Amino acid sequence: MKVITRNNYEEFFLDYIEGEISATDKVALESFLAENPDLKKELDEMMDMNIECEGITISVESDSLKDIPFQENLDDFCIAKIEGDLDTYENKAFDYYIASNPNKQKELSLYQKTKLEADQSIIFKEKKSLRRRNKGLILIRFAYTSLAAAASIALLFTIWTNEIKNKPSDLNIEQISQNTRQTIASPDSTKNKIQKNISTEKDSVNTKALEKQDKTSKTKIKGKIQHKSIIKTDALPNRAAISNKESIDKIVVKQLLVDNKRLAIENINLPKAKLDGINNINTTYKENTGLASLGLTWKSSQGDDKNKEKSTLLKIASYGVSQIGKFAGKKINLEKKYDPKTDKTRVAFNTLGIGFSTPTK
Amino acid sequence: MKLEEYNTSVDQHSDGVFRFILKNIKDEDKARDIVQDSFEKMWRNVENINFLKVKSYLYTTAYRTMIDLIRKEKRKEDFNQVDVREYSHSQHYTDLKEILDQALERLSAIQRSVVLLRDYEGYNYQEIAEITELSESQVKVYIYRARKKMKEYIGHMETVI
Repeated sequence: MKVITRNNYEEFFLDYIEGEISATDKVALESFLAENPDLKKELDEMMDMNIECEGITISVESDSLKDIPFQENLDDFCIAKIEGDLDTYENKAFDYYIASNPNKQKELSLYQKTKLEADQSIIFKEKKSLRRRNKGLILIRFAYTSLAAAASIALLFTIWTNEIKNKPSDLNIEQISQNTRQTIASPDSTKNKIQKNISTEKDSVNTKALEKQDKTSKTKIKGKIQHKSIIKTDALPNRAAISNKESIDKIVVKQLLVDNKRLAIENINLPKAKLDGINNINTTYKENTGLASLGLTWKSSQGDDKNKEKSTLLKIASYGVSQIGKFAGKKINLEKKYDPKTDKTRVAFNTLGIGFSTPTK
Repeated sequence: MKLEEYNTSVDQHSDGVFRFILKNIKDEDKARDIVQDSFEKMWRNVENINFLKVKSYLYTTAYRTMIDLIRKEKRKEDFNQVDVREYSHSQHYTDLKEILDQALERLSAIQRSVVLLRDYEGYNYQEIAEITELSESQVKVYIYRARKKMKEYIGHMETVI
């Protein structure tokens, strides 16, 4: 049996008022009310409210029904009934009216049929397309995709550049010629140098063999000229001033040095140190950075390899700075400054007013 | 409203909105488009919408999108007039559900909408008024007229059958 307390007495009161309380609970309730006289007053008030409701019910059954125009506005009352728009009194009165007039029940029944019920079998199947994921995840995924794309492009570019390095013959011939204009003339100094070396080593070198080798090398060079050197000459801007003979002569010297090297090795008479110098020269001609393929050009100054390298780096830096200037909408120039203390030349550019940022959202 | 609440509202209300629109325009593809459009609009304003008012927001958006679509297609009826088409006799209407569907189709667009909102979703007059941009008394009048019309049609069909 449930014990009655001040926390649950209401449900016992309601059962008591409705007459649905058991005999045991009734005894317990009476005992509880004796112990709590303040709640006895509350129970009395609740019973008074019920009496008032019963009074209304009684009045509906009286002649007061004549005051409600059910007959004249039957449709409206029927609709109000099914819509729940009637108050308690009207509702009870209308129920009484319908019960007293069976012929009106059909009208109410028809109105009740107009209440629609949703067809639960109709569903929206594409719910998945409506659902959303976390915006943050989408952004991370987008950033990851962008990064992956950028990495792929960089990788492809690297592979492509390496391919160019490995296959210099595949390069655009005209671009090579522009970049190597000075290199064709540069062997003149080397030529004299090597010739001097050769002359000093005349005693140890078999001159006849050298002449023979010279002849054979010339034929080899001719073969080379057909493939490469003639094209280089044609690409020169002032090619009218340079005869084919001259250009061929220059290249002959270069190739001759190569052949001399071979000759010296064969005879084991040429000093090794000199051969190393020759070897370096040849390596320089074979190398191609791929800048020409990017549309970048540079003219190396006359001098040693170190100067050329500096010149190349300066060109690249200058190009980069000019591109930054384009983006920033400012003209930025590289400036060379000589530092007498360190005896070094420094290259600098003014970064005032230029900021670097990454847009984020 | 949070992301989880948005996805919950998809599960809770997409079927109801779809049924409501489909019953109004009788075109499944267009009803689907309107539902998707409504949820898209809600997602765009997801941070400004109270989860407790999601249902009302969705039905309002869907209803207005539907009205815009009807206007675009020049199929908009005069909302203030009850449909005056004569009831046609058909031997195919055998159950109450089919008869009710036919009765519903004979209502004007606004009458149909308010009755569907009332019966399918249990909205009160004030809520329907907010969705349809009508006054509360107008909603009540439309519902009463719609009931009378449907009752007449059902009564007529029952006597025929």
